Amino acid sequence: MGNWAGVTVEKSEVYITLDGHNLHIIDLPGLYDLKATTDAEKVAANFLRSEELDIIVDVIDLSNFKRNIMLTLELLPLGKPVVLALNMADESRKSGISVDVPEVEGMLGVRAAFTVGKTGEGVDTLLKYVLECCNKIGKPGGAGEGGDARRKAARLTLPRGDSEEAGEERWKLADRVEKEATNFSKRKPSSLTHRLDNVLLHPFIGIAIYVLLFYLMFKVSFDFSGPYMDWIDGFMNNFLSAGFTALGTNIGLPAILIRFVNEAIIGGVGFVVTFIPLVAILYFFITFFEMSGYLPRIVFLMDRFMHRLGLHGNMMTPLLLSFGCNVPAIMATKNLENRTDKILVGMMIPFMSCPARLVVFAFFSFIFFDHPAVVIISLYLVGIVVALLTALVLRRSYLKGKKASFVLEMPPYRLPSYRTVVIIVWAHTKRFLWRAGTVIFIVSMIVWGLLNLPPGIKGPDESIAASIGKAITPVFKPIGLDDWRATTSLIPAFLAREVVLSSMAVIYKTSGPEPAPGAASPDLLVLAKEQGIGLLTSVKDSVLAVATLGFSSFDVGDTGEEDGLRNSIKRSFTPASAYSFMILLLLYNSCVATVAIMIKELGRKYSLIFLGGSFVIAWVLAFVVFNVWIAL
Amino acid sequence: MTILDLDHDSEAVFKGARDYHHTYGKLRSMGLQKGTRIRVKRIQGRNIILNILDLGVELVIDKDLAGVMEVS
Repeated sequence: MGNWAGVTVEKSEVYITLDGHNLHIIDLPGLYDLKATTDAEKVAANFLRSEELDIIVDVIDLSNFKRNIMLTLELLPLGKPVVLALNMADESRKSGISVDVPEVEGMLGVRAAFTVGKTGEGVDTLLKYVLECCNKIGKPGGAGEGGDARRKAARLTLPRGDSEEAGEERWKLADRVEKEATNFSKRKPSSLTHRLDNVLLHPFIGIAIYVLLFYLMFKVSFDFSGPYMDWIDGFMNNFLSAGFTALGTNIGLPAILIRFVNEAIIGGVGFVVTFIPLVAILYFFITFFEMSGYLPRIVFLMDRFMHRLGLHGNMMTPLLLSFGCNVPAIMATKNLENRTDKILVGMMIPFMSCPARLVVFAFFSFIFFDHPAVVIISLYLVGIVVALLTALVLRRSYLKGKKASFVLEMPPYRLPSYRTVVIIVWAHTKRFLWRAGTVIFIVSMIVWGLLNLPPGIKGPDESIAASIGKAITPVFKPIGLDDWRATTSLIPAFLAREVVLSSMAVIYKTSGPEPAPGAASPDLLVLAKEQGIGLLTSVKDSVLAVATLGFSSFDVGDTGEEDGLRNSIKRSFTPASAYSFMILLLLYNSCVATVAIMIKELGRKYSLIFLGGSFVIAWVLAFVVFNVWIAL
Repeated sequence: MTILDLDHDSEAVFKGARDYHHTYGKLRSMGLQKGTRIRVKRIQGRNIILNILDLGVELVIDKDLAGVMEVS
């Protein structure tokens, strides 16, 4: 992760066993000092002051040695053994910075090791020092006491407390450590950052580049992933489903089990898995912008505009993160100092579209509209406009509080390491897959069960699911949704947006025509060969699609069958009702995980206000759009 | 004189906050300590980008805040 305060907002932990020691390693949010001002910093400061820890590993960004040592000088009086990770050693070597490690160790009374986070260099030495501390815990003359003795030898008396005087004293000590143990003053400033900022922070050129980069992000995400999504979809339906049916029939599996696997598992879960390439590529871009140092530049550029709405640039970070996922975005409001600002941004975030909603928009837009990219962008814009109007109204009425001052650190530009980006993208993609394997799998099973119950029904039209769907349809009829299958799929959407597609896949597949009896068993070898050729074609198509200037379309969900899922859904919606359906999914809440994190961060009262308010806003806007569309 | 009075590319020494401002504590921990040399890298819109020369750190502060930060 990034090495400056504000990147991590929650504790994350891992257990490892090393040389017979069971280590519980906890990564804390970054902080500048123990006088925490934001919720994220308070999480770290409170934990560091607690008795729950044995050893502190203080990660020092070597390009900011003196400022980072200020925090070390606050940590040392806590009485816990401290091990210093002198990180970004590669960059500091390039900038001509040298650090006399024995001198640092002697002055501060700690062990210190050079590390390079992105390659793992120096981690072994660091862990060796951690183990040394582990072995001394509870023994007379432990690491803490020895450290005190060494500091006394270096005549370094540590100031305590967080008064201005103590701060100034620490600053002088940090200056002394820097002067005696490093040649930091001879460092070369980054001219690349200066040159890039001249362009990227320009009030006009900078905004134009920002818009262009986001256009490219969406274009590459759609066009590069499209052919792979088509391939996965074909693989699920034409290979996996067909293969399982053939195999199941041959070994005599019950027909109901074959239907369950095809409709609930492959049709439901498998359909959501189709969207993994899109989600992974979108996360790649968001991670790249965050790790490269470009994200704070966007914050700076947008501050003037945000100010006109009663907001400030710092609020942009959670809002930009919300395009990746609303949950970490709401967690990122921990970095806002002011509670009013935090609530305000928390109320805006769920209106911003996330990849889970994008997959639903992509599916519907490519079925119902000639220019799907325009429709998808329009939905993103609707979300942004509603979020901004929400902020405008709340700031002038209910949440009038004084804005916090705008303070931001501009990290230098860095080329993110391939390894780190891949690890983060994989972590996000794994979460998406985990949801497919848990929430979506369970929901698909329940929906399938409700579509086939009570026993003895002639068709899904008589099922429990149909009864529920028909009962709530009057609420949604004014916005164009008068088919019970569409309204039923809205119920599980409360759990996660992508569940809409899996539920629809189950509902429409279950209520679709039965496969022709006695159909010839497919030749699995032929099917496998087709899939292989299909994958190679996808590779070629994805590269060609990115090379074209405009958006290329992708055709998710078309299984090539006469009565495929796509055609079934096409018959149950019109373009107007499809758009109104998407507006509802865009604006009403986002998922149950978002509600849970809202309750934690903003409190129950504001979360309930949001839930009620977002449904009213979503319904009213969908009603207006649908009826204006019909009238035109 | 405050940071607000400085021109683009001009250098000064930071002297502390004129009035108490709760953000001042945060700025101090971010590296804006009394006696540090600063350079105005960019003035744009409502904000000023400061280069803290002693640290090689860049900070953005809004003009309201810059107006209470004294320099010489």
